[in-house]
Amino acid sequence: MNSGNDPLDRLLKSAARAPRPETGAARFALEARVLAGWRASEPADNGDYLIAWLRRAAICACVLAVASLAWNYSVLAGGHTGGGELAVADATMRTGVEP
Amino acid sequence: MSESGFDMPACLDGVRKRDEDSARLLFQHLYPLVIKIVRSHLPKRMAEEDLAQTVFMKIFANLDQYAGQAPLEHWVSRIAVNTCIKALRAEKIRPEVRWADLGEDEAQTLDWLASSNEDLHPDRSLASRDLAEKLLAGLKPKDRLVITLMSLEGRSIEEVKQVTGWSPAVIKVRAFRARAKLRKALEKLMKEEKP
Repeated sequence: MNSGNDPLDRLLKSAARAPRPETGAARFALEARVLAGWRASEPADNGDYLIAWLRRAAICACVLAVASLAWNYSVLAGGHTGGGELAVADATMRTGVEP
Repeated sequence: MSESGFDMPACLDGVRKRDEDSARLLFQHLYPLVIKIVRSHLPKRMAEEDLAQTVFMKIFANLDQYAGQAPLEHWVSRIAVNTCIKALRAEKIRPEVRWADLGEDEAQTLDWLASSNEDLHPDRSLASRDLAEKLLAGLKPKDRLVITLMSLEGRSIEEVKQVTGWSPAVIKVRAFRARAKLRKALEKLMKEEKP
């Protein structure tokens, strides 16, 4: 039979007919290695989860600290003068009311 | 439950709950599929068991990402194929085949291809496969993959798409170019003077 003149087609056609090695049952050694690797991966997964949770918690704490600093910036910088003005008003009121 | 009595959803559920018997069952169920892909796309200097182990470790590590939208076998095939391509890429040297590299049977097969237009005798299939694999080793991993899947394993474009994730257009173009490169290598070998 002739499948055309292309040597590549004839080569690949013949190669495709070659019997393949049996896949057979899983080799015990490979199975043991894979299952051992799978068992060993368990603590790593829990550790990853904990690290991710701690990272999120640290980010939230940083955001809160920065917001708190921004909120109280004027007090911390010492530029708050509201206390002095109120004291003058109180003194004026007392002077006016008391005999 | 499947025809073979293997209950895939229950097995996957068991593996996710860290049940070792389920993990063993899943390994045994997937082993023939994985080892077949690994053997077809094995780099020259790598043991098939080492590559198969890498594939299985990736499967187990990423099992939570498997959503069940496609059959598990397709998902596993894609992991196996991508792992093999990565391993083949790491193989820096892609030697050109010469007459001196061929065994006696392969040389006779090549002689027959050069001297006759007839199909090769079925007895020559093993030598043909060895010769084809030597020529394929000179191609880039993706070119080698597409020829192996389509020409040696007889897979359709749809099947190649499921395994690789490439579009049909990409598969056709890649197959055409890969065959052209392979044809060029074969013709060069046939024209070469025998030692």
